[in-house]
Amino acid sequence: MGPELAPFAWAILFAPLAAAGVAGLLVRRRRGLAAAVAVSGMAVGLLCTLYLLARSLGAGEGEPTGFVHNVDWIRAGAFTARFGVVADRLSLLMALVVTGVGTPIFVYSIGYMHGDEGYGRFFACLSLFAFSMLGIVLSTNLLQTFVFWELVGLSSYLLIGFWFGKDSAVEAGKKAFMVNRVGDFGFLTGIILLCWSAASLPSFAGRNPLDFADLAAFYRAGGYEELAKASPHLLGLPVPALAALLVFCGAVGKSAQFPLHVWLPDAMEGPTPVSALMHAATMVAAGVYMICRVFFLFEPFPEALHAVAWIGGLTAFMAATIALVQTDIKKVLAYSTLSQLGYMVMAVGLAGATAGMFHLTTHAFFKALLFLCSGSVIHACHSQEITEMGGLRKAMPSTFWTWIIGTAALVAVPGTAGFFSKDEILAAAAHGEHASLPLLVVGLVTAGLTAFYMLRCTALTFFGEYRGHGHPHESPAVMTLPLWFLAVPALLVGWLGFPLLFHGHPWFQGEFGITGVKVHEGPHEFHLPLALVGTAFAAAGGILGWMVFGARRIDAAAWKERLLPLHTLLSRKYFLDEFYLWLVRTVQQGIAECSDFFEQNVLIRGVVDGLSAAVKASGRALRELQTGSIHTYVRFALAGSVLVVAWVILSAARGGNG
Amino acid sequence: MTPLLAALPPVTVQHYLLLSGLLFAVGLVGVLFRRNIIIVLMCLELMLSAANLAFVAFSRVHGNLQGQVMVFFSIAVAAAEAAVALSIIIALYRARGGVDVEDAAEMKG
Repeated sequence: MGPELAPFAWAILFAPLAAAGVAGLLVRRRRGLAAAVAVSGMAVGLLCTLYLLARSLGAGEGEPTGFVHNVDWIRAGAFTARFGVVADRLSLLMALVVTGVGTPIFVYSIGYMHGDEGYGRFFACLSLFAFSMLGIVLSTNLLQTFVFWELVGLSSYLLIGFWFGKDSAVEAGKKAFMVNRVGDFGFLTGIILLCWSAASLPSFAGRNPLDFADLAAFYRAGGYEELAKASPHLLGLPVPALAALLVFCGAVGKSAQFPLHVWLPDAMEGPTPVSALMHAATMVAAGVYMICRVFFLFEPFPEALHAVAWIGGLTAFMAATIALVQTDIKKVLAYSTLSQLGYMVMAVGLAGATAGMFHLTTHAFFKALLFLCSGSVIHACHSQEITEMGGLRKAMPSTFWTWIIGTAALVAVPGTAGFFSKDEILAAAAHGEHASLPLLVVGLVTAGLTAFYMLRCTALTFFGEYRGHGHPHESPAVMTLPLWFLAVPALLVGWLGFPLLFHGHPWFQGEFGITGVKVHEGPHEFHLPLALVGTAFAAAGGILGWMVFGARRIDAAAWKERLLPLHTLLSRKYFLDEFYLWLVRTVQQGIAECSDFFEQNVLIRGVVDGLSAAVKASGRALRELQTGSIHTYVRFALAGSVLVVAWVILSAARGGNG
Repeated sequence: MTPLLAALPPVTVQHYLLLSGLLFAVGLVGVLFRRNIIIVLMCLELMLSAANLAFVAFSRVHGNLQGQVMVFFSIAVAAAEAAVALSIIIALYRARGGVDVEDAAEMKG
């Protein structure tokens, strides 16, 4: 497989862009055509991805499993920025997630957005998002990644605020954009720091400091030690470790890790297909993918990896606890997504890219499925509160059964997709190179919490009596077919990574990426005792959840009263939003007011007004000279002549003396 | 005549310069203190003549013609200046019915 296949990779990238242009600019009035164009753009991407992936997996011994195709983009002196596509197993797997989850969601949107005013705009934005996301996936260098990173942020903003008549949607869009700015600031700083310090090394000459492949080759040759020695320590860290952590900041923002996770739950204001595609399956996973792509930056620094793992573990646990008390079905799923993203980041920190990408892939399918199911439920009940649902099992059989499949995968019922990927993360925490007992406990407890909140949500939504208004009915086929389409991979995709099949993981093993993503040597072992412990935790959480909300053997209201402070803490999301508001309203506003005071009084009243007053006063004084009387002028002329003559005589006298 | 003249001290360049300075001072005082614009103009002419006299005196001392040539220029310029000045004075008189310089102070800032 070589660069002769590059047109296919370019097609993956540009088919959605063409679709966005056509849908957004040309066929705004013809809704059906706009949707058809968007869906076919995505389908072209999916087909090209499948073809390239087949070629990569089918590559024989000694044959490359990927290629890079670059064109020069900006050339300015010694600086060259390239624009290109990389097609290796890592990027193709991610592209498969984006297009494979994206295509059914596009189809589903045809039904979900039916009758909406912004139908054409929706498909244009969604296609723009697909283009931006695939741009990150196929990017060959840091600058290109950053550009598409921001484009993804833009399309996210456009789609969260899609119903811009609703204030909460507008606010949520702004919040997502601004919180991401914080992370992106770190990302950009990291890129600049890394490129600047690498480019200044003589041994780096001839390489491009932005390019993943060049940087990775340099790091593999031990360049990071040289880099650490050549530059001074900043903030007590060697420069390459600091650059790695700064780049991780970008992932913290985009993948909504603690403490920048606050935007993701609010992002659920967007239409449900958007939540499914961007805020569950693909965009929020971009951070995890990016860390995998630049994993070589982290690899030499165990402390950096440790920090990554702990941020992930903290996010996983915290989000799972908040999900326990949410009553909005999409918020439950949003916090669940946060929690699973934390799992992925923890996996990358503990075991490297393979485990993280594996969980990313399985999660993308089952979480997109769960979101689409919730969309179907919301479509039927016209409400998002699970307290106003119930008993939908009979009214919506397709939605119910696919939801059960998605829940089983999320809860990690043995045999479903989530089971294998979660097991691999727990195995990494228990037996991996950077094994950590506290993180293993976090992982297990989170697994239990996950089962609890998912069964609570399932019980309240689909069992018991219907508590809402009207008569809910099953969604049309254009919405239920994508559910079944996603249910299949949600059940089965995990088997691709099952260690006992296919001689270890053929997909997640071997030469995984052109940047030399680290993989475990030899077949990955399957740890039966650990799998049993993990399943036991999940089962305990699930049974407890069912006892409280399904069978109602335990009185939920009484326990809520008993644990009221805890319940308040969780339902207010650990008061983090309040804390940020305080930070902005009190601290930042205070600083702003001080600056404003300084500006108004010192700069404007002192410097600016002072200067103008001085000019005015001197003008007023000088104007007295202009009397209009010829006699005055003559006197001035005379005085001037006397001065000149005096000066001439004096200087002549001094010259004579000298 | 001759003995009388011989009895007087010889006329030197200093005498010319003294006369020139006196003429200049008289002219300057007139320009500074007289209010009638015609007198002012005449005093200006007086100052010019003082300068011309000094030129001619130096020409005589140095024994060349440069000073006298300069005086011809000066007289020509003075004639032109007098023509312009007199027309301005006529215009001024027509405009305000008087020739007092202190009255024409519209340019006061």
